[in-house]
Order: sequence, then structure tokens, then C-alpha cells
Amino acid sequence: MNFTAARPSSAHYQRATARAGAGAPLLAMLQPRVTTYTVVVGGGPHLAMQESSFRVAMCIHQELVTRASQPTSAPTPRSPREQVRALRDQLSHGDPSAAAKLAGYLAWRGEGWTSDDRLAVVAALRAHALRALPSVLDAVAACARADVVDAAVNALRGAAESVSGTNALATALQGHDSPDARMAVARALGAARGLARDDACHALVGALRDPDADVRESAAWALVNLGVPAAKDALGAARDRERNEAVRASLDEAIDALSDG
Amino acid sequence: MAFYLRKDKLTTFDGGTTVDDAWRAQAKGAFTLRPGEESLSVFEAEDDHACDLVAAALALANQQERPVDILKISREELERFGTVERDGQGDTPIAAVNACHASLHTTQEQLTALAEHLRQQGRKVERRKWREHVLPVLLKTDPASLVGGAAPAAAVWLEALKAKRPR
Repeated sequence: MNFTAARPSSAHYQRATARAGAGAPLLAMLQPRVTTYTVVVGGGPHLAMQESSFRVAMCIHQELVTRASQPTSAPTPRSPREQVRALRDQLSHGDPSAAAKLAGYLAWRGEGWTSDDRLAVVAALRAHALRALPSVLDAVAACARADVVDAAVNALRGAAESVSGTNALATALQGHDSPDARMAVARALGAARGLARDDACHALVGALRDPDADVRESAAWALVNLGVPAAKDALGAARDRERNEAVRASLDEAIDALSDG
Repeated sequence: MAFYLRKDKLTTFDGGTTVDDAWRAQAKGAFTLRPGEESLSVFEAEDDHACDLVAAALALANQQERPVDILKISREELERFGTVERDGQGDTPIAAVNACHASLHTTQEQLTALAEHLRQQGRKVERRKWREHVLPVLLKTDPASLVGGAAPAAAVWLEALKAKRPR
């Protein structure tokens, strides 16, 4: 879209052209003493305008230029709180890109973000944990900082509240490429309750043989959190075959903790 | 003397001093700023009791029985790699711990240098064991005193934990 405005009667003749998306400073040419402008739109016929009309036209045009320069039609929320709320709403309507964006904000420490904003991100992902599972795991694989993993675990706990969610977590525990993602999944499975608990227990016992030491240890403590006494035998067997000294010591403690009840 | 605490993995800071590609790959997640992030989260502590309180608060935030591995960094060390600002912006359900939260304002390059410095010093994370260090603090914590959006769930978990272990 081309928009050309000229002010032929002014001693300080000015001319400006704006192309959509280019961001030209259109309003700079407005001068209070001038009353009549000649406007050409897209090479069409000239149009004389009074200043008040011209100002309105310029405002409309500026808005069109601004909108055309934005990649999406949705307005950009201003505060983190508004941003999280908008993404939460998009996620609840099934927008998969919202899950990825929210997961990227797990434990986010950017300008203006507060504890409440970070907790809101976790709550939003947790409410749709099954849908958000791939995005959350991708976020952990990309940044396995302890606070990011902790926030991801809290979000994934939402999936552990149902049988279908637990099964999805169990599949990820077996097959995800990232050890950090598997570690987060193992920890989340420790929150399974009710009918989902047996499935979680089965998956976690399998993860006691994971090639990654952190995953094995997380699986052991997740079994403690599940509170299944029968897991004590599996933990004992894992302890006997464990070669990593630190994990072996941790397994000893986990067995004691499970015995505590 | 005050020091700063950061949760980390024992497998990353295990007392070894070798800084090679394998270790860098292992440590990559620990000291990473994502594009747009400006700081790293740490907690200020004066002594081991404060360290246990932080560990308990982190366990409570996750509502999980498990040990917590903590990396200790002195103020002098940390300030070589950025600016430390105590901001009280912790995300745990314990207000006293949140009040000790600080941010290390830094860059990715400085963070990488910090991680490699700690490794070259042979730094090892300190394990705060579940039954020995973390649980005793939690058993003394009043569920009604918990704060923040996670407080209701954390309080339920803490009550259940206490119910399993009557004093």
C-alpha cells in the first residue's frame, strides 16, 4: 500500500511516503498552521483535505501500517500477566503453539516477570498437561537448568493425575532422547495417584535401568513418593546392580525412606 | 560469611576438575540464560541451617520426598561474574526463603565462565539428605504459614507428610 501526502501551500513544503511495514514517521509532517493537504492514495486521483480530516486519515493509515507490520493478527499483550493469560486461553482452545510459548516461559527470569507470573505459567501448563507434554519436554531438553526442570515437573504433575496422562508420561520415560526430559518425567510420575499409580510404578521400575544416573535416581525417589511398598524389592535389586557410588547411596536412602511409610 | 546457593546436579559438580567437551555438554543446562533472560536465580544463606531451610523450601515447592543437591558459591566468586541483587523474588512456599532470593545479573558468556571456574576449583554440590536434613525442617514447618499460589497444594502435601510421621 502506498500513501503520499503533500502540502503545497506551505513555505516549508514537506513530502512523505510510507510503505506498509516500513515504519516511516508519517506524523512528523503534520504542521499546525497548514489547513489543506493534497493526498494521493496508491497512485489514484488527488484529494484535497482539511487539516482535521487529514489528521484522522493519517491516524487510520498509521494504524494500518502498524497492523501490516505485525506477523500475527492478535494484539501483543503488554504485561507478563496478560501474556500468560492470553497463552493460557489459546492453549485451552487447543492451540499447540501456545503450549510451546508457555513452556518456554517456565521459570522465566526476564524483565518485569514476578513469582506470580512464573507460578501462573506452571498452573496453565498443568491444567492442560497432557496436551502440553511434548512442549514441556522440549523446553527441558533445551534448558535443563534446575529451576526450569523443577517448574516442568510441577507442570507435568497434572498429567500424572489421570491414567491416560500417566501412560503418556510412561511412554516419554521410555523413549525421550533427552536424559533431562526423562528425569523430569520420572519425578512427575511420583505424583500419580489412584488407578494411575500402578502404571506409574511399572514405568518407574523400568526406569531404574535407564542408562542415565540422574534418571535412575529420580525414578527411585519417585517410587518413594508413590509409596508402593512392593517397590522396595525393585529398589533393592537396583541398588545391588548400581555401579555409580552416589546413586547407590541415594538408593539406600530411598529404600529407608520407603520403609518409613 | 554469606554465600549463595543454587540447586544443581551432583553429576555436574562432583568434585572433578576436568573441563572438556563432555563436561561442557553435561553442564550446559546448569548455567544457561535463555534469550531474553537477564539473571540467574540464587538464594543467600548465612550457615548450614539456612542451607537446609532452602533445601526444604525447594522440596516443598515440588512436593517431593527426595534429597536436594546444592551448589555453594561465595559472594566474592559470584560478583566476579555479574552483579548480585537481593530481590526477594523466590518462588517457594516459605516466605523467609523467598526473602533471601537474589538474582545474578549477568551474561551467558559470564555464566559459562562461572561454571568453568567452579569446575576448575573442584567444586562439589552438597547433598542435603532427605531424612537427615530436609525432612526435619519440613516437620517443623507450619502448613498455615505457607505463601504463594502453590501454598494450598503444598500445605496438603505437608500435612500428609506429617501424618505419616507422628512425633
